[in-house]
Formats: sequence, structure tokens, C-alpha cells
Amino acid sequence: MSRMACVDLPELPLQLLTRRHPEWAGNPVVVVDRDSPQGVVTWADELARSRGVLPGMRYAGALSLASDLHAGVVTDREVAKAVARLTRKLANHTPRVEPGGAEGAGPGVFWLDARGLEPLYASLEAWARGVRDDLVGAGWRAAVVVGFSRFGAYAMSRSPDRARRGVVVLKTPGEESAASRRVTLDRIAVAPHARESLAKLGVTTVGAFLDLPADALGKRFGPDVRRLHRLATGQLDLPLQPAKLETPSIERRDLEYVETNVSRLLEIVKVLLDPLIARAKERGRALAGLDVGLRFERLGDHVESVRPAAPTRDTDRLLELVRLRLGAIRKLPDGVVEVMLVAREVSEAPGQKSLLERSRRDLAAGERAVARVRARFGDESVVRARLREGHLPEGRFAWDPIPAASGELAMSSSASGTGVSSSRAAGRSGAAGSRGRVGGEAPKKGLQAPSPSPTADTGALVRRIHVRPRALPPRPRHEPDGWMLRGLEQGPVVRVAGPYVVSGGWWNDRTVHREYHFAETQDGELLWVYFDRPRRRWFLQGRVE
Amino acid sequence: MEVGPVRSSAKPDPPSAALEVPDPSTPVEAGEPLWTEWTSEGLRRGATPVATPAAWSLEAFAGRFGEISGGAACATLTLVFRLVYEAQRRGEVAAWIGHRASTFYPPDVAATGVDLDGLVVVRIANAVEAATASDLLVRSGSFAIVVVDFVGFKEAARRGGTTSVLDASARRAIPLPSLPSFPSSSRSVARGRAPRTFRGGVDLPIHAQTRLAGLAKRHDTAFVCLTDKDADRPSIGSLVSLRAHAARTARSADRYRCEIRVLKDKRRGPGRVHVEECHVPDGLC
Repeated sequence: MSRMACVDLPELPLQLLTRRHPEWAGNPVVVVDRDSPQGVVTWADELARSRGVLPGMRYAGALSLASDLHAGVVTDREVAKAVARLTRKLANHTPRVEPGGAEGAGPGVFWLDARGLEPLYASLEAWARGVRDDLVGAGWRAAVVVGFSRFGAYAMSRSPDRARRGVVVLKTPGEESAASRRVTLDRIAVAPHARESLAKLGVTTVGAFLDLPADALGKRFGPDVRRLHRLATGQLDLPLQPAKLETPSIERRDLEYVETNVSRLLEIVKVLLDPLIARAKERGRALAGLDVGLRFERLGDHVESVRPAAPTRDTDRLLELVRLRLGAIRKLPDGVVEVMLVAREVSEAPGQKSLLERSRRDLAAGERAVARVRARFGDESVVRARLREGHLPEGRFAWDPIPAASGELAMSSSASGTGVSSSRAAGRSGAAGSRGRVGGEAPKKGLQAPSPSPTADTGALVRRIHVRPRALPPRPRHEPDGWMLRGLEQGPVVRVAGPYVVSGGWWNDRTVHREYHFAETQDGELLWVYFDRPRRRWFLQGRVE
Repeated sequence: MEVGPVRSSAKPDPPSAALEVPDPSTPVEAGEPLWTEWTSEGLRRGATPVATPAAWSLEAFAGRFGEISGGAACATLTLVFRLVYEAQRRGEVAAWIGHRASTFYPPDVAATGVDLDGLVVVRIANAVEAATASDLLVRSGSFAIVVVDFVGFKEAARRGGTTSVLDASARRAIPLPSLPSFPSSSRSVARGRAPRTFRGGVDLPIHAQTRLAGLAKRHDTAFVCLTDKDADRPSIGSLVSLRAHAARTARSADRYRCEIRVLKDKRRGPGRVHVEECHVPDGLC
């Protein structure tokens, strides 16, 4: 008898947001599509719903209902990464896992093949409990229902009382059918307009929905609702379509001695690299990246990642990158007891030469040089500027690591204060006002032949910006010699233009009010300064050069 | 006693027809030798100066080790991005090497027409790393211009910023599979001794300068360093082939007169001046 389990991680984007901000526990939390008053609420937790905050509302409107509301943006990419991570985790319990998304189930729903597991576990309930405990142990809220059909298990997993119990194993198909009929329609993936129309007709449960004629449903509510009806009644039986999980190619070696010499370590890496390359060659794949894992005797594990400019099977090229990365370390901080190499393989795509040579320079050589710089100084050392919508100067751009031509982004992307991009603007989109990507466009891979604007304002002065504005000394009440902004050397300020006020963040805890000025000193320096009213202090943002 | 004629110790005047110093303001046809007669020292000179002063163009820097300096009223960033823009108009890629903490303001650069996607930016911690990164990029021959922003390093040093190569933020520790989990390393990987702190000036070793000058010439790449110094300060080194000083010299309403004065040019000699009018950014946006 076919057995299928449905794992539901309710409101996955909300769970991702609360994992990112554990300090928000106990407060109403919503996910918005962008961090602005006009942002639309896409997910709301129970506490927010109890205050009347519902998906579809504007953030400003939601704030008026719940003044202690917390909101954040969760990008599709973050959700996709979480789904991939959870799929790999669930694959530890069964070899066939299908992530949701089909049939409008939304992120956070997974179907697992539960057939043939009874001999391996004491019971299906023990197996299901193991799955749930694994997820809860990793900090997720989840419910696991073992049923007989895709829709039946899914509907039961969405039932609030069953979900609270965490694990449900249905004994017979009849039990599954009877229980799923009692689930209300607002718990499953029915289009909101269809759900409202059905509610007006008194159809609020799955059972009442199933009793409706399928053809009439299609005519009145469209093909999606009809398809859901056919799925629910068992007329459309979709087999499980498990995700294809790729096991990375790994080579490892336990050292019989504690290695402290970098050169000898590189020789070990070379020995381990050859079989990795050979395996990739057999599969018709190339290496788009290489992780070098070092296990230190006392300090623990450490990983260095290198990426070539393009997927390659060239041992020398990969070794050169590893040498550049490890070669910067003149002395290892501790002895290495184990070395592991993990290869990131990609399918080898045949390269295509362009018919017309746009540049007399070899861009491929430039990409290799960029890969070397990345290997030498870190993945975040080679970046491109990307424009963003923002009010504050530092919010109007971000630095994106330049992906290799193979398309893989850096594995160990920095989230530090001086790192790549501000988390505040993740997922923001807007109109491009000048030459640079704005918002959520995908970064271009490798080196690109540039396309500068032919009608640009070449007469504009360019400013320098300090990533962290420098606090200036407080201005004394009495300035007999003028405002000595930079000290005696530069002389007093002779001219000030401004203020240009930037104010915002009133919808969250990050209230900002800055009054920007251009201050010209006696020796001609043109400084970009601002007065931060909340902090009542002058800051140096940059300089016009 | 007979006294001979008094002989003057001064050298006799050369024949006026043998040495004709041309008037610099007189245009000279390209290809026509300037001096065709012997000088008093007996050296034949066939210098042919260009017909008109060279404009501010990438061509002047191609294949050379250049330096653009600026003092307090400087216009270095503005004028170097003209060169970047020109390189991009030719369909070539440009690279920028600078400090993480102080850099050009991308919206202003985008407003000048530069394609930010075509500008590779290397963000590093100190001047020694800048030399290494420059070497790697110039050596490839793929870049029409590589700019090293030493002004940013000076600003970072002024703020007391770090110049260390340690950067733990890009590192992560993961437990190796099927082995007992180890606690994540809380210390970053030491990378040898930290470089000496950068305290103003440019700390570009002479061997690096030699190598970079040779690579720039071989690959016809413009290698340009931006420095923060007055015009009377010496260049980074003797290998600088072209040194220009960019300054804002006059102001009218919201416009500034920006001058580039060539202080050193091993090919054409110093003295050329290029002038542009530039306007201040519109408020902030």
C-alpha cells in the first residue's frame, strides 16, 4: 500500500525571519516585500493576525494596528536556499523527498516517500517522530503527517489541531479521507478570490468542496481550482517527483603526523586533487569551485574556498589558486591533522566564441587574473558597484562579489559591517536611474564588456565616500577663528551649502535625520558633512574630489 | 712690455644662424624637426614636439606608470574617471583598487556615464596588497586602465583604520562530516606578520614599481596611482612616467574650474595644462 508523508513547516518565510531575529520573540512579526511604509505584508504570524494584521496590508497600515510590529524582508533566494537545505536534511530519513511549490502548496511543504520504512524503524510513527525531532532540534516548527495520498496528507498537515500535536499517522485511507474533509478551506492553498466566493456559498470545508461538481468548479473558478478538486478526489494522482540531490565529490586524508608546513600541505592538496579531477572528467563535469577543509589539532575546523574564473579540470590552475590562498599564510596557527577537499562540480557547457571581437584584450585572461585576486585576498575582495534605491548615501549602492563565469557566487559571503551589502535593502527593486543595476537584478557573471552611457553628464564632480562616517569634534559655542572642521592646517570653513535633509526610518526603530552640507575650507577642500540630529553631532561623510 | 689684446674668458657667441630657438607658440608641422642645425655643443637634435598640447585622454597614460596627485582642492577622482569612461567607450574593461573604508561614490560615477558593471573593483586593506593586486591585474593584459587609489589608504590611516590583512569575516568553520564536531574556531587564521602601518605617503616598494612599469608597458595598460599631496612634493618614485596634478582652481556659482597640470612627462616634457569646468553634485541625489 502506498504510504506518503507530508512535512509542513508553516509560514517558512516567517520562520526564516524569526530565526534571523530571535530577539523579536513575543512580538508580532510580519514579512514584507520591501522595507518601506508602502511595503506589502506577505506573511503574518498568529500574534499579528490576532491584532488584525493580515497579508495584503500595507506596512504602514499594519503598524497602526500593532505599534510593536516587527517586519523584515525575506528574499526568494533565501527561501530557496532554506528549501534546499531542508530537502537535504529530510533526505537523511528517506531517499525520496519532493519539495513543495507544486499545486500552490507554497514553501515549507515537503512530501516524503514513506514506503518500505517499517522494517527499518519500530513503526511509522517512530520514523515520523524522528523526522520531526530532527527538524525541531534544528530550530524549525514542523508537523509530520503520514497518510496515503498527496492531498490527504497535505490537508491533514495544515489542520491546526493536528499540527499542534506534531506527528500524525493515519491508519487507513478512510480515516485520512474522513479527517481531511473536516479541514477548513482557509488552511489549504485555494486562491483567495475562489475561497471567498465559496464561502458565500457556504462551502468552507474540504468535504463541502469535494462534494461540488468538478466541471462546474472549472467553469466558475478556473482551471486551477478544478485541478485542485481533481487532486483532492484522487482523480489526478501525481507520483512523487523527488528532488535530485547531488553528493559532492570529496577526497580526504587523515594525516599520520601534525603538519605545520604550508608547502607540504600544498603537496597533500595536490595529491588529493588528482582523483577529484579524474572523477569529474569521468562524469563529464568540471570544477567550478574547490573547498579546502583543514582540521587543526586544537583550533578546530577551517575552510578556504577558491573559485576559478571558469569551470576547469586544469589541476595546475586550481593548485595555483590554492597556493595563492594558502601562500599568504606564512605560518599556520596550529598543526593540521586532516585535510579534506570538496569539489563543486558543474556540467561542462561548450564555450562559444563570439563572432565579432568586441575588444582587443583577452577577457578570459582578465577573469583568470580576477580569480587569482579572489584566491589571494578573499571572495569579497573583487566586487562591482550596484546602485540601489535608498535615501541615505550609503544605502544608495552596494558591493556585489563578481561571480565567476561559471555562475557560482561566493560560498562564504560576508555579512560584516564592512561587508558586501546591507541587509536592509535585500530584495528592494526600483527604476534604474543611471548606469548600474538597481535592486534585485542578478549580478552579471565574469568580466563584461562595458556599455557606458553615450549621453552622460561628464561634467559632474565625483565624491569620495567613507563607509563609516567619521564623527567630527563638537562645535564650540564660540568660534573666534571660524569653524575648524578639519583642524588648523586646512583652515576654517569659508563657505557652506545646504542643508539637504534626509529623514526616514520612522516606521521602524531606525529613525534617521541628517542635514547634509558641503563645507569648503580655506585651503579649498570641499567636504561632504552632515549634522545627525538624533545624535546631535557632525559627521564627515566624504569629500568632493 | 707689449700687452696683447685682452682675451675674454667668456665663450664666444655662437653664430646666430646656427641656433634658432623657436617660439613655443608658433605651431610646428608634425614631422618637421625643430632643430636642424648643430648646437654649440655639437649635438644634433631632432626633437619634434606635438602640434598642440595633448588633451586629457587615456592615450597619454597608455602603457605607462602614471600618477595623478591632488592637494586640498583636488579633482583627482573626477578627472581619473574621465579616463575610465574613455576606456569603456572603447569597449575595454577598467579596474579600480582601493581601500574598503574609503572609496568613490558609485552614484556620482554612474552619473558621469561610467558603466559600473564594466568596472572591476578590488577592495583591500593596505598598500602592499594593492601592489600585489595591481601586479595580478596588469599582468593579464586585459585591462585598459588599472587605477590604485592611494588617497583612500591615506584616509583610512588617518582614521586609524586597520591595515591588517586579517579578515575573519570571509572565513567560516564547518564541521567535517562523519567526524566528531569540533567547536568553531573563534580565531581567524593568522596570515604571517601584519604589514607595517600605512601613515600617509605611498608605500609602494621600488621593486613593485619596476615590475608594474614593465608590465604596463608590455600590455599597453595605463597604470595610474592617485595620491594626496601638493604639486611640489616628489612623485611616488623615479619610475613614474607621467605625473599630473589635478586641482580645482576657481569657482563660479556651482561650477568649478578644474585644472590638470602635467608636472612630469618622460615622453613629451612637463608643462601642459588641461582645463575643464565641472559642477558640484546636485545636493545628495
